[in-house]
Amino acid sequence: MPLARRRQEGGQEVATNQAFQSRGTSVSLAEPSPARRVSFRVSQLRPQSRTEYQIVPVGSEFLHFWHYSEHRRGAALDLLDRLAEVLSDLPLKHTVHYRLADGELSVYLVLEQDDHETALAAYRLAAEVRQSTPEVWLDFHVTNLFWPDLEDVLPPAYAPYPMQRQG
Amino acid sequence: MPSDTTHVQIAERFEAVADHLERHRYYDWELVARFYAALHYVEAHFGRDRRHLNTHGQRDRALGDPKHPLWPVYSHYCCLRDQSEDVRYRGKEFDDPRLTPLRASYAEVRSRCRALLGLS
Repeated sequence: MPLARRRQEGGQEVATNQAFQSRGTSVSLAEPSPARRVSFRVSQLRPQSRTEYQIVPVGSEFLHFWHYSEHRRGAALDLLDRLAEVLSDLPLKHTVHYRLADGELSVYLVLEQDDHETALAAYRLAAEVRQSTPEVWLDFHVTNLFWPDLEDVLPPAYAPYPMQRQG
Repeated sequence: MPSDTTHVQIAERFEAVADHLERHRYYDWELVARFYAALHYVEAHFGRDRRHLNTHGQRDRALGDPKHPLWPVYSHYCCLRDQSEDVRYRGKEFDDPRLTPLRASYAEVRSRCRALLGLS
């Protein structure tokens, strides 16, 4: 989704749209009423760890949103680390892809081949890891490379987690 | 909202559709029908307590709790959900042998829900 209605303000790029997406990471925001439209300053599109980008909000409402989100962001990434570690014990070669938006961590485990028993085990493992971080909801899915290209089997905006098991 | 009895009736109709699709070798949509039958069995379980879960996320939260009575079939339900989404949204294809374990997962969800509902 392109960043819409950009304009320059004080040398900083400002976006007034409600959704931002770049290189696999998206942040979706509720549609404000016209009278309450708030600008977002995309201060720097600098890579953070795990391919994240930082967006600095300007409006007070979204400062609250950001603090709330930042608090959960750290917990979510810790949860992701634990999940990836647990999943590394699975017997099949696989990759982990994630999306973090508004306090919810969505993860896709992509198996190199279709294997029902491995998928069943992965759901159980994820549910157990989920219990350790109740403030972050882990939305966990399993798929496989049923098309040759990864982008054809994943929903948009998922970033690869830097963990890949060699089978 | 539908009662638990209505949800069971919907599940049974969807299961009949799935059986029909299996006989006619529409395996992709057989899986979709079985997932929605499973979903209505799950909803029947919650409907008995006058709870209605409106989203996949809400069902995931409920069933994904190890203390929940449906926890033993949670992973089976998740498999049906994700694989049917692969069919619907990304064109994954199934043949008869590859659907066999998913039919077994459906049977697990169905039997667990029916047992909790006091049905045969």
